[in-house]
Order: sequence, then structure tokens, then C-alpha cells
Amino acid sequence: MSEEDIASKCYDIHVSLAGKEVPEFEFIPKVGMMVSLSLHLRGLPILEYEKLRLVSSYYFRISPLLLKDLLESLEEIEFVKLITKGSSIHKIQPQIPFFESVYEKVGEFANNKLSLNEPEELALEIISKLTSAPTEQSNLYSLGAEKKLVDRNLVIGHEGGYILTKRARGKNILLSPLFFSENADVFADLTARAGSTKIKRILELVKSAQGLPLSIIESTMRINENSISIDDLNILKRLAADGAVRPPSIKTTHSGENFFIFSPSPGNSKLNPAKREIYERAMAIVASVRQGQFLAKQFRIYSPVALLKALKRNGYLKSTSETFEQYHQLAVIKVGKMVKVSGDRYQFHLVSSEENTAALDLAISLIDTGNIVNMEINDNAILALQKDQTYIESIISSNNLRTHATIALDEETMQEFDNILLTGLGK
Amino acid sequence: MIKDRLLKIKVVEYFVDNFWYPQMEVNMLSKHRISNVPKLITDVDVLGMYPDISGSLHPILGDCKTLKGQSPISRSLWMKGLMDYIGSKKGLIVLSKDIEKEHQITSSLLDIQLLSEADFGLYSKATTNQSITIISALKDIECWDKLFEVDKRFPVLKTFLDFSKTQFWNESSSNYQLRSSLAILRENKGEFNPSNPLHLATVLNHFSIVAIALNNIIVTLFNRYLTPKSKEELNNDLKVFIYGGIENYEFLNNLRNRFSGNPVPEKELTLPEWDMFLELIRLVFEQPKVFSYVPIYLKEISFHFLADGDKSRFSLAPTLVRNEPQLSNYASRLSSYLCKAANLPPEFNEIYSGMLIL
Repeated sequence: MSEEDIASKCYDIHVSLAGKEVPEFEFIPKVGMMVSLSLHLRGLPILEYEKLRLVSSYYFRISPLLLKDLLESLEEIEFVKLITKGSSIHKIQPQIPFFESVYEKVGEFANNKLSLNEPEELALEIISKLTSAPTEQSNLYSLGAEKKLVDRNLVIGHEGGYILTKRARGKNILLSPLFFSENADVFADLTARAGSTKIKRILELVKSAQGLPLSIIESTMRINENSISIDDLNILKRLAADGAVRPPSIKTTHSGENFFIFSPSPGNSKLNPAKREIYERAMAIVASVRQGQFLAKQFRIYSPVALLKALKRNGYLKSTSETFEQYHQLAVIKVGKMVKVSGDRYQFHLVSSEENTAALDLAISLIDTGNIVNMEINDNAILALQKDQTYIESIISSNNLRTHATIALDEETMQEFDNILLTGLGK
Repeated sequence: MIKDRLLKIKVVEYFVDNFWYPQMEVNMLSKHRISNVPKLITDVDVLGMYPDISGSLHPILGDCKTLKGQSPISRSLWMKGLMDYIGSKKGLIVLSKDIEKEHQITSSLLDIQLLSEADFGLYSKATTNQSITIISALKDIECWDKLFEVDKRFPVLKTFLDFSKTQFWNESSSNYQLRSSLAILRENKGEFNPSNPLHLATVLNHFSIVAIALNNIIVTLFNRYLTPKSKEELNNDLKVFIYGGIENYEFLNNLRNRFSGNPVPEKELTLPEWDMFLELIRLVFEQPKVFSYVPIYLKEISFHFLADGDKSRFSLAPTLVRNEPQLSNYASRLSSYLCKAANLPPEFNEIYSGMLIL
């Protein structure tokens, strides 16, 4: 596992633990917290220590007792400069580079200065395995660790919310909601049926060609240059049909309705809930340009990335007779608007907003690398860091209300509750 | 292995020849529980479900014994008590020994047919359709043995299998039977593997009891107002009926809304895949009485997965479909609904559809 991967997985586990303490873990939470602080401090002005202490405790679940040590570690890698008065920190000057990977730099520090214990090593190995695909529980016992240690790690993973066990076809399938945040049942069933290796390969192929139209995959039996089997295609169709890969669709008069395939949407550590809408918009943008790339009637797009960069630069796309149908869905979700030029020719204009620019950047990254980037940031925390101290104080003072407010249940828990209502109460 | 198997299978044959749904070895529980575990009070060797003139299914009890130290009429009196307890109007007792006429006459006054093994042969010939010989997997005692031994190979399925032998028959209302059978199917969905014929048989057998509950709901609704005028009307009435009346429905719906934490709930409390369910019910209203054969049809096909050798020799399913052409359609639509509502692996629906559509 690369240093970057280690830091990334530590961050995932730290976010998922959401403040729960695991006696065995020391390295993972510390590295996770360092990443969390770095991601959120990038680009901010000089901050009062007091304010950062409150925000860190509230938003990042970082105990005030640990903050000083974390900041000193961040100072060692030159991510912050600490302004001290005597032995206490007075202010923090963030110096997190924009053009370097936060994960890589923190991972490098962790590798040199900190050491993983055995349970932590195993936790990272398990989460790394579950990143690419769900797997049968029995596979974890072949990782080489003692059974007792694996079992304890599974307990931590379940309690910490980064491992989920699903029964499918009589097997225990493990998956991580950090990487497969929706339709756990479908993924578990497909893994029980086809095996982890197959699912992993298919998902890697999808990631390498985000937003490919299903009909093109079906007719060519290929994803990029890689051929796929009928069985692979059926798995892909099942993922699409059951919404596991959330395919947006576009309907045109010349090519009918087409579904565009994406890899599973990630969980909260990589995709902050507040950023989910941006992610949905980015997928819709990718689907529109893929439509023009693979299913154009006359005006084919040869370089989707170049086209999206032009849209970002100019704010609009040149008119064609296919523009209206191709980008209509984007107008519906207010990413852009249609401007009639003549007859059936329309220009697509980007609606200028921070969210749309972020969605466009994400769309470019999705096509270019298959990855989603910069979607883990909690904007509320950044806002709190930039406002004056009374702002965060007022949020914290309303903390009691927040703690006791009812939390809306996710779809899966709701289904379980509905099942209880089927059996219980009132014949 | 099932005891008194030869006598019992004769009663099953008699039920199947009449196109009545058969279930062997049904356990009866105490209705008023004070202990933590359900209390078994007695069992029924073969329970049949026969349709009345409206298409509603009713239980008939079949008992087979090699009695020692108990007179035939004592057995009839026991059965009469049990009939009253579960709301059955008809009983049948087949004994391996000869029976005195007084015992038979007294039994008939109690709506119980008390017959010796030899007389039962005559009785069943005289009271079933003689024009055709029905070959059915349900008449194969080996299939029943296999079904009852699934939980030995898959102990995790014990509760699920017990449901179709015990709990289902002890529920007092069809709407609760429907809800609880759907719930237990969903709870166990992760255990079923479509590449295992025993699992295919077990799940389809479960579908057959769901069909019994659903049949009686359909008959009740249809007889109330024939076909509803709109989807809205059916939607409103059906969900309230299924959840046990308006007070109960509103209570459960409020509970659900409070639990969900959403101030504005996305949808009201309904069965899973509600639109698909409504379509199925509306479709069955076209010929509601046909649906009363869906349970036995599904059970027969489920037993095909348990039977050895060439399945094409079985004539029950084709005969049923020949008599009622809508039957295949209703059975496969119900199966599709249940596969979807329980989120079973998709192969279940594919395999079942292939066998149910004749």
C-alpha cells in the first residue's frame, strides 16, 4: 500500500468512526485527523487557535487534548506555521500546498515518524480490500492474521460503520459503506454469485470509462479496449437496473433512451453529504458529453475533456441541431440553459454558480481519471473557520438541540423497520 | 421420515385429485400464550384447503392413525374439537382397522368422515373425477420427506420452514398471514441460493402459502364491491384492509413517520413494491375465482424441484392450466411480485417464470 493510500484509508476510517474511540488504534485516528485538518485549512487565512479548537472539536471530532500535538506534526511537514506565546499556540498560519497531494504528504510523514500496530495494519489491509469490491468474510481469514484479531477487527469495523455484513445466497459478504454507499444488497448478491475478483474487474473497467452508454457496451461487448463476457454484461445490467451504479439517462429522437454507467457513488468520507448534489450534476454533465461522443447523429464530440474545458473557459458551447436534446437534462437541473440561435440550433450556456463550476471540474476529473476529487470538504466547517469566534460559539451552544433531534433514517434502516411493521402489532 | 406415511399420502392423493391444496404435518399452537416459546398443543396429519362457491379457501382436516387403545369415535371427538378451534367445517379420519357403524354415523353428525383404509379407497374413487388420472409430485411421499429435511441440511432455514408448517396455519386472519409470510421471506432473503434445487423448492412452497392468504383477501375485496373504479380507490381500501383496519393502519403509519425522522414522509405505509402489488390485485379481479388454484399450482411446481427423474410425467400442473388458462399468468405474476418485494436474487424469478408459464 502506498503512503498516499495509507493516509487516505486512515482518513476514511477516522471519518467513519465519527469520534468513537478504539483502544487499539493510535496511528489511524492521528493520521486521519491530520488529513482532515489539512484538507479544511487549505487556502484559509491566519486563524486564532481558540477558534480552530472549537471548530475541530465540533466538525472534525478532534479532541482539544490532541489538537496541539496534531498541529505540531503538521508544522513538521510545513503544512502550518504556528505562532506561539510561550508554550501555548496563539495563531495558526495554514500553508497547505494546492498542487501537492495532502494524502501523499501526510502519508509520508506517518511512514517516517509513526508506526502501525498489528490491529491497525490489519484494519488498513481489510479496508483496502473492501475498497475495490465486496468480499466473502472467509477471504479475510486468509490474509495471514490470527482469527481472533480478524474477528476483533470486524467488530470494530461494524461498530465504526465502515464494514457491513450482508447475507447473500447463504454466504456472509462484507462490504464497506465508505465505497459502496448505496444498494448494498445488490452488491452483496452479485459478489456471492460471481465472486469478488469478477466484480472488482468490472468496477475497475467502469471506473476507467465513467459514463459510457450501456447500449455501446452491449453492442461492442467492450469497455474501452477491454472485452467483456456475457456474464460481465449481465452483472453490469443488473447494477444499472437496480440503481447500484445510478445511471443517468438521456432520451433523444435519433438514439432513443440511453443509460450511462458510473462506478458506485462513495460514502461520506469521500463525498460529503452536502456535495452530493454537485456529484449528481457532474454525472449528468458527463452523460451529456458521452451522448455526443458515442451516440451523436451528426455532431460527434471527439474530446469530451477539451469540450468541457472550453465550456468552463467560454461559458457556453457552440450551437448544433443536437444541442437541445443532448443537454436538455442539464437545463432541467439548472446546470445550464438553452439559448436559441436559429431554427433547431441551440447554444448551451453554463449557469454561473460555484456549484456548477465545481460540478464541471468534477466532470472533467471523472472523465480524465475516473476519480472524484475535493468532494470530502465540509463547507460548514470552512465557513465557521472564516467567521468570527461568536459564530462557532453560537453553533456549539445549540449543540444540545442538535444531539437530541431525530435523525432521518437511511433507506436500508427504513426497510428493516417496515419489515417489523409487517410482522408486529395488530393482527 | 414421516410416520404412518402410506395412509397419509393416500389422503394427500385424495385432496390433490380434488385440486385441493395439501399440507402435511401441520402443528397447532395454543392461541393464548403465556410462555416465552409457542406451545404446541396438537398436530394435523394432512390439512387441505378447498374453495367454496365464492373461491374462498377453507381448511379440511385429515387424520390417519393405526389406533391403539383409543376408539374411532374418540378420535372423531378430538377432531371435532380441533375443527372448532381452527374454524374448519369438514374432517376426514382414515384408520387402519375396521370401524363400527355407530361410530361412523355419530362422526358424520359431526361433519367428520370416519373411514377404514379399505373403505377410503372406495370413498375417494367415488368422490373424485374419474375421467383422468392425475400424476402429481405432491403425491410423492419422498418429495415431502425431502422438503421436511431441508432444515437438517440448512439449519439456518429452520424458522423459515417452520413458518410454512406451523405459524402460518395458526394466524387467525388472512391479512396477517400475508404480512407475516412476506416479512419472513424478506428476513431470510440472504440465505437463498438459486443454484440449489432445495432452496428453489422451499421458496416456491412459501409462495404457495402466500397465495392462500392473498386469495382470501382478493375474494373478500371482490365480493365487497366487485372491481374498484380507480387505482386510488383500490390503493386506499387495500392498504387499510391489509394492515387490519383504519385505526390500526393510522397507528402504524404514524409510528412509521415518527420513527423515520422525516417530518414529511416520502410515502405512506404499504407493502413493498406496492404499485406492482396493486396491478396484480387488479389483474386478478378479472377472474378472481381462478386464483384459488394458484396455491396448489405453485406447490406442485415447487415439488418438481424435489422430484427425481423426468418432470414431464407430471400432469397436475398442465391439467390445472388447461382448466383455467389464466392460472399460469396469475401464478407467474405473483411469483415475480414476491421475488421483487423480497429482493431475491434475480435468477429465482427467471427460473420460476420458465416453469410457471405453461
